[in-house]
Amino acid sequence: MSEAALARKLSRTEAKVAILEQMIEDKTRALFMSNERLASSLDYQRQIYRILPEALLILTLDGAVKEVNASTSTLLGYTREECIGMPVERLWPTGAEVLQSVATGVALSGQEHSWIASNQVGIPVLVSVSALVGRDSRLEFLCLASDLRERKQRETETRHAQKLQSVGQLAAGVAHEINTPMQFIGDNVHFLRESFSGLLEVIGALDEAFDTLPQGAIAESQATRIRDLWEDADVDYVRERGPQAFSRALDGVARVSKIVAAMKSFSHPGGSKAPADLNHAIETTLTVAANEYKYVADVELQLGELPSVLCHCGDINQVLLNLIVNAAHAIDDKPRPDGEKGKITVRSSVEGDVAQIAVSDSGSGIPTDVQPRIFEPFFTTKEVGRGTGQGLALSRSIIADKHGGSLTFETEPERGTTFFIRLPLSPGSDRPRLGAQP
Amino acid sequence: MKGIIFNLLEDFIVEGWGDEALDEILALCPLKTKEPFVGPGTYPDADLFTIATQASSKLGVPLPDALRAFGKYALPKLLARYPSFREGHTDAKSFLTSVHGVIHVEVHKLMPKAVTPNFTYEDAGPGGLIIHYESSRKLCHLMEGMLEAVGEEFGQDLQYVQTRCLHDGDSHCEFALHFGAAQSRVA
Repeated sequence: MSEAALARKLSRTEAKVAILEQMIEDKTRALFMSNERLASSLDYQRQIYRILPEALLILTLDGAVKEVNASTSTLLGYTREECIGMPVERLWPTGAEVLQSVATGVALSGQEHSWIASNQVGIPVLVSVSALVGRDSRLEFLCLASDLRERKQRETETRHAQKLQSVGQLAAGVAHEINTPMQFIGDNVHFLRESFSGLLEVIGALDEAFDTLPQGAIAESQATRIRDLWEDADVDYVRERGPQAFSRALDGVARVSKIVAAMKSFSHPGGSKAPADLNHAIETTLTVAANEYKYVADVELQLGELPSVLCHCGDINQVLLNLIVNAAHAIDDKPRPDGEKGKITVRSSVEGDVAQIAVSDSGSGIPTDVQPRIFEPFFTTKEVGRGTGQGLALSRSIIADKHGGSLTFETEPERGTTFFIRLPLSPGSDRPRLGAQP
Repeated sequence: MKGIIFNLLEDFIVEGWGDEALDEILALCPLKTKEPFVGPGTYPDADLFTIATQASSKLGVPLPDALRAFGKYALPKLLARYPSFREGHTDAKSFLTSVHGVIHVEVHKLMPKAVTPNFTYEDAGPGGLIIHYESSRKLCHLMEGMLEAVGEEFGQDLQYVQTRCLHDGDSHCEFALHFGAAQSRVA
């Protein structure tokens, strides 16, 4: 080989080395950039995966869980590791049938199903399932589920509220109808009492005159008839007890009027929030609920001075009614060998920026295992027909969600329970003091 | 065409006719590529045909024969460089039927810009196979050499008949293959 040819070959080889070095550099840079883009893309997808509020599951063709996101763990109470490989039927009893249907090309979109959490409680969910081809080219299923519990609870609350509103309107109507006749009954009893009082004076004067009449002033037969009539009418007894009967009748009329007024006030339909006197609400509710507690408990009121509080007064009445009825039930459930009544204490006060109402009972307290669940919808320890399990759930929703307040409790075994309603005082309130009732 | 094929062609010429022959052939070729060919690079197909045609003319070998010989030379070199392509295959038929679905896929992983021919297969019984070859490069002569090399690689008597050819105006080339029994290879 000639020297020139060797030189050309050497030159080609050196050029090849230079090109290859440049290629390696370019490839290394491209690989780095590609890795960066991949990592960024992966991070982005992980973020979506992590913050997705819906439960996301990847299921294999044979119905085993392949992957889940954090929302799935939150919803079902299983860790990711516990979920992986789990048969779908354990989480979703009808899941296998659904997957079979989706595999034939019928996608599932927004259907309501029930899933089973780790504590074996059914959870209503809105599920969508689509088929997808996995990284290993096998058919898989992408399953998205939204928790429907809150929506269901809202629907239940709405239905319950509508029912209460209807009952309230009915009660207000009945109260109004009773109120008018009660007014003229009261007026007429007043009239009769005044008239009776006058008649008694007339009868007294006649009685005195009769006793002082000279012998023979009236015919003996007339005198006998008057004495017979006097005795038949039991005039002495009527003169003695008549005024008391009128007082009792008027007292009864006053009590009915008070109950009717309380019912009207209690069932007053609430539109927007309005300043309300919570102490008055407490007294009104106690009047309405009297039948629930009067045979089992005495009520002690310790009402402090409260400013008017911006609230839905009808809703607050409802919460107070729930707490008072619960207190009466708690006292009734506690064995009372001596038949002595229990005690319900209702206190009101201002604590910093909140108005606080405390309803205490002298019942047996709430068992430790029950305490975490008492605000759960549909949870009740009462027998069928006595409790719906809605009272405390609704009460907390009213206080917390509608008023931005809180409903909490403290309980002590065999000593009783106190529920605390705390309502924020309206900002900038001039805090006019509505005097506590004496 | 990938640079590795250009490099194999250069090696083929050097091994057969020496460095000076390659030097002279390259000097006579009006190539579009001005820099030396390197394996991972991608170059115009026309440059490969220019070098092959020039070599054929310079060395006095007809172009089809030159391409056939180059195919027979190149295949074992490629398998030596990428041993994984051969792994798992104990006979020529098994290997050939993996070329399009496995080897070409792997080639694309290594060289994303590679343009590979399209192979389709018809099974013609235990000892037979029909391969359809489609490529705008029309390198069926190269393929013939490679088929012969595959037979030798697996120690099999591999007979083939080309029943259709792109050069005759067919839409694809068709090779009907018949495989003899595998023989143990003697070093």
